[in-house]
Amino acid sequence: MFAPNIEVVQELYPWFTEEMQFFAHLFFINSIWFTQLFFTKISRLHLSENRKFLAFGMPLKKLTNYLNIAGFLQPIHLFFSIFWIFYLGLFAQTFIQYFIVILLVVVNYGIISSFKWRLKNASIDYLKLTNALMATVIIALVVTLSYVDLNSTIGQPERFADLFLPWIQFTPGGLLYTLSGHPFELTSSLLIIALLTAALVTLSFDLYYHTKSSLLNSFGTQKKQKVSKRIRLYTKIFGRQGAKFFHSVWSHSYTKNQLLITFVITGMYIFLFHDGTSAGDVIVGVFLTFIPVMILMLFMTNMFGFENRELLLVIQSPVKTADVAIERVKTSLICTIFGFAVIVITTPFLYSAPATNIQIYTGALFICLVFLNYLLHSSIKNYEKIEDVQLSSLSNPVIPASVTFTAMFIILLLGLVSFPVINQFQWTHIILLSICNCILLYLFWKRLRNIINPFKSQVVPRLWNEL
Amino acid sequence: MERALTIHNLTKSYERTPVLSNLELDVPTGTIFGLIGPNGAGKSTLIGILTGLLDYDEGEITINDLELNTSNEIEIKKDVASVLQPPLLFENFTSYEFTSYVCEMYGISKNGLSDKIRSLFTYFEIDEFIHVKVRQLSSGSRKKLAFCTAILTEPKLFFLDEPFESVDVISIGRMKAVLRRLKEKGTTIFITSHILEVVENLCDDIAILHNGEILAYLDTESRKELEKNSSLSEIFEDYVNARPGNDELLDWI
Repeated sequence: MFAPNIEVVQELYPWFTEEMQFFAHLFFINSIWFTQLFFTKISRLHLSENRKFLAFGMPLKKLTNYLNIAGFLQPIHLFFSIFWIFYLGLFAQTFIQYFIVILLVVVNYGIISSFKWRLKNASIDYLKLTNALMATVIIALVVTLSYVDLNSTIGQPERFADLFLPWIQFTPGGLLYTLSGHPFELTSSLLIIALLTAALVTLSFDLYYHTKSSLLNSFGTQKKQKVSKRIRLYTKIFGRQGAKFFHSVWSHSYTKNQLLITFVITGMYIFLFHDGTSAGDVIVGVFLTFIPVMILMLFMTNMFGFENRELLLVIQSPVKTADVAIERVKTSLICTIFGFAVIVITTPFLYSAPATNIQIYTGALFICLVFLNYLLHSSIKNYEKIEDVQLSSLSNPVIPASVTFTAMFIILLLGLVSFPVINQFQWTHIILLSICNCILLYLFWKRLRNIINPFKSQVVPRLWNEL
Repeated sequence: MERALTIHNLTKSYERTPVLSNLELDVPTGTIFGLIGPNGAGKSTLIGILTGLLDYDEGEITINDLELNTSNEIEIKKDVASVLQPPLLFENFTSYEFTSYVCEMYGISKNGLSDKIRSLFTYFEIDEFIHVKVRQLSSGSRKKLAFCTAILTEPKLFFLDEPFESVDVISIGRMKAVLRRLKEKGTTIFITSHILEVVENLCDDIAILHNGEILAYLDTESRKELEKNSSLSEIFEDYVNARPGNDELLDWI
């Protein structure tokens, strides 16, 4: 119905040429491929659970093979494979092409799984390098976006085909399409089948090796750590209990990643939206506030879940239980002040008027205090054990994606109240926000003083039950 | 005789289900005391209460002559250590960091602490893991690490819940030797277990806990008397009225 050779389409969308259709097609295939890459997960093999079969006497080789087959047949993974067979099958015309499509789909799953295994291992072994790489890619993207004239490209879709077709054919989607749809001669087809079969065998060995070694290394490699003085340093800054809490949160791989993403995204948006308009000012304020709020969330969303049962040992030791809870809140606040300092340092570079700077500080403080009050309540009420959190996982992260998005939405809503500059009422606005801040501070202080009761009655019994 | 622990009329329920009912118990100072009972008898709950982790509904608890309440909390905890099952450890610390951090919490002098840590780790053959993160240790090594750390806090009352679970035979022997040394120094050791062999050879006095009540308190003398005619296992089965297993159900084996 939507093809370039139809007259109505030609009239309405003259830019929708055959090249454009081809480009749109490849863009669609690539989107599906990257979705498959994202949704294919090694964690679905449930290795820690299935490892128990070894204890029941199941041979390692057999279990490894079963798991690899189960991984391929896992409903979400299988859904993509079936989709590809149907979709790429549409372009196949001969029996040999259908055979190529089937082989291609299996090899495609193997390549994605193999890549995922490597990504998993790399993110464990070279976390800092992975983070640095991710930051470099995002910064490069921001810099490129700032130099590309977006209007001249997005506004002129007819240029898409010329710009992107030469290289999009070599993307995974382009290769899938070419291999399944191109009418190759018999010799070339047989050569492709031979190459795909060889790839399939190699990938099978690769997946076998990774699954097997992962089944055998239940505790990971026992790496010796350098004797470090970090605990001593943390103790000096946060106190003994705070140091323990900070160490637990900070040593979690997700924390650094989340902070990096927060800083990079904030930087990117401020760069793109700081244009002198009032809408731009609100967006800048909102994104600057996102930094301290995200730090606050990282530390307080699940204040006791990071340490979980470890907290019981702390409570057993000769320290006041109230201090254990309060020092953790204080540590979260110290770290949030660091995030707030970023706002204080950044805004004078963005706005020359002192009143605007003060309004941003007051507004950001207001939003932080709203979150502080809520999170203090939430950390007790919604206590959950943080078990095995995966890097950049949407299914089991420290702060669920839904919470991050909701928080962003709430910051935006509160930002609409806090950041707009209405010249003649600016100081009235600042005074009103300051009064709200005093009230919120008082509420927080009151709740913090009584934290011990809900902590003892709600968190500790749950920790004990999980023992 | 001095009492390290006195429990009077202790009651604890979980959502109206009684776990401990009017429990009475005295543990003499400087003894190795064993609390035995079948699964679900309330042993772990009792340890949870005694180590200050769980609240209780009614009763009085005195530890080292101090009544267990909020005002005495810190003073009591200074002299109490415990090894629970599973052991409580700081997963992201190295073994050394963990032990020295806990010792600092207990206010143990740093003088010579490092040497003590190393000698204990060597004795229990976990010295090769001294700078390995706790989360990478095997379950036996974790238990030994928790045990070493608890000893280094110099407790007067030492609670051990299933202390020898997951530990190899050689290390069990060494742990028992250390416990006997501590006893000689005046430390009171309170062991809970459902494995009778564990307490049979090690403990002086034994109490049998069943359905949240102490059914029997057997001091050294009464044990000797009873064990002339039957084993501890038989005595235990008598007290808890254990039904004999219906072997006919297993005819198919």
